[in-house]
Amino acid sequence: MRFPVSVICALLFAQSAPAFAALGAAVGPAAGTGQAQAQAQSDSARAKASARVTSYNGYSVSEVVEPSGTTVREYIGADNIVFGVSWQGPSMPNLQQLLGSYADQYVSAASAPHPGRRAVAIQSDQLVLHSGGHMRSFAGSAYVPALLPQGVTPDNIR
Amino acid sequence: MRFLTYLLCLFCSLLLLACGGGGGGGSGSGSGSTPAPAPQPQPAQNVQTLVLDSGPLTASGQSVGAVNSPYVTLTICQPGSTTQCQTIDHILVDTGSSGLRIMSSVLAGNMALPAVTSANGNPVAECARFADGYSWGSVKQADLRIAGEVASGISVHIIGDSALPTVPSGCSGSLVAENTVAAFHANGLLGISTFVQDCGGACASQALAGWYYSCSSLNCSAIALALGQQVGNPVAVFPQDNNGTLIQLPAVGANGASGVTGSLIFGIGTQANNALGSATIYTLNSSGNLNTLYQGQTTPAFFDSGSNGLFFADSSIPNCTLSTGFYCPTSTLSRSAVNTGVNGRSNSVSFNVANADSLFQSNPNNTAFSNLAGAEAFASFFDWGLPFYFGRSVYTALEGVSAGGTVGPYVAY
Repeated sequence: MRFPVSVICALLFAQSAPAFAALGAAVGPAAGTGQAQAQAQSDSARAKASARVTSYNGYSVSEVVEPSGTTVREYIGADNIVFGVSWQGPSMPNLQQLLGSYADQYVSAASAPHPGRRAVAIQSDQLVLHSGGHMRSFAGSAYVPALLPQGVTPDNIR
Repeated sequence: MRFLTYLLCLFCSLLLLACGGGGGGGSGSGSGSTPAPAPQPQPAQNVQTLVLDSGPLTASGQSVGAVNSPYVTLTICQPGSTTQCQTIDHILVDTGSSGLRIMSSVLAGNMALPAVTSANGNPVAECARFADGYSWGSVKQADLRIAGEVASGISVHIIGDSALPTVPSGCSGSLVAENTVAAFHANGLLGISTFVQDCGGACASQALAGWYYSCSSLNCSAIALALGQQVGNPVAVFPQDNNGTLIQLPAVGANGASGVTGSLIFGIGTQANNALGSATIYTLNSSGNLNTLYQGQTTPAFFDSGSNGLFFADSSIPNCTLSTGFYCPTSTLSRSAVNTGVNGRSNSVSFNVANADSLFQSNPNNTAFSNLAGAEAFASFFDWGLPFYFGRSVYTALEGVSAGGTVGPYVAY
């Protein structure tokens, strides 16, 4: 059932815009700020890899396999805003690009003295993020609670 | 204190060298009629002591406050030299990564190691990215001497090298820099995972941002790097005892312990002290994982001496308010999980989850805890960190080679 939809959507999206933006930012050419343009530029290399887009009720998921082999997914609401991201594969993704304006929150949380090593868990009103794994096998996800579309739960972001 | 230790260690390693290098000497004193027996290669001294203390001091002289961190002391030398060497303590033993990494701040000024260079002659640099940050620095050539073993001419990651102050965006994109002893909680890392190289084939065939770079005086650009030049598991380069490792740690009680030591033994089934014995082999997939069933959910799992807790998802266990990242149940919980190797071998492991805040507050001098656990990325992984290793012999077999009759990658315990 899901497969045909995803193929159709992938074709549709392939003709419009590469579906990569940072967490909390708008996808596509609508975003016109300088920051968004810079972001689009830095994303262009990644966009060379074809994004597979799957539509669900109220949101869509854009999936790209990076050259390293790591799969990165962006969860996009009906308002075209990225409300969540996830990754899985042999290399960590570029979190600066994925988290965008939320990167600062990640840095302050991850830089705080923490006796635990190897796993990052951030649970705040602004950002929920988990990152774990080992060299050659990483996985993690992040979302903005306030941006979660109605009916979407954190379990949907994998 | 430190200086004296250094001298002692240097003396010890010289002795070891003298012992390990021989084997065939002293011939010619027998009777003329009986030919001297062919010299037999002597087994190398393959045991290095693991120390679980509070870690090295930072540049400002403060304790890094480490817990569950297995450290070794090792010696690095100029390639081919047995005299231009430096012995370095508090190198963290990590079965969750591959490669020797040393903080540049602990390298002596006269340890100017030769650079690994790219095709155009420029020095090679590397970004090592972990789940919680990145380490950036140059790649140099050195010989590693540990116990009686030698890894000659290996690539070593020199982290925080002041010669390369500008971090490429593909590396700093991991956001949190771990380029100092304070951030790294160690003077270096001895990565002895099941992988021969840290990156492997992906980096040999293409220039990947966030891995290897060639640096001119102006900037650094991503490059492909041949497998043999990559930073990798030094054990694979030993002339013997080169198919894996064995970590042995004593059991520790419910309140933890101080002064815990154990053994890092090189080789599997190569000497009397590293036979598999009754251990069961669990083979791993190409990502270095097996499957773990916990509370009805199956997730990929790995064994990582560099993780200082057991990290897994369990929303029923409260998180700590002080020791963030760890679990703080109201009373100690008994749990179990079932590991299943790619080879189908299966085994249930029981463990306890104590309140980390209470543990640390009640036992401020203890640095080894078998009941320390925390949250992993949703249900992404079950991370069998150092608490798993207490009271066990845990074997880590390298990919692609036979160890005790079975080809790795595998974990056995």
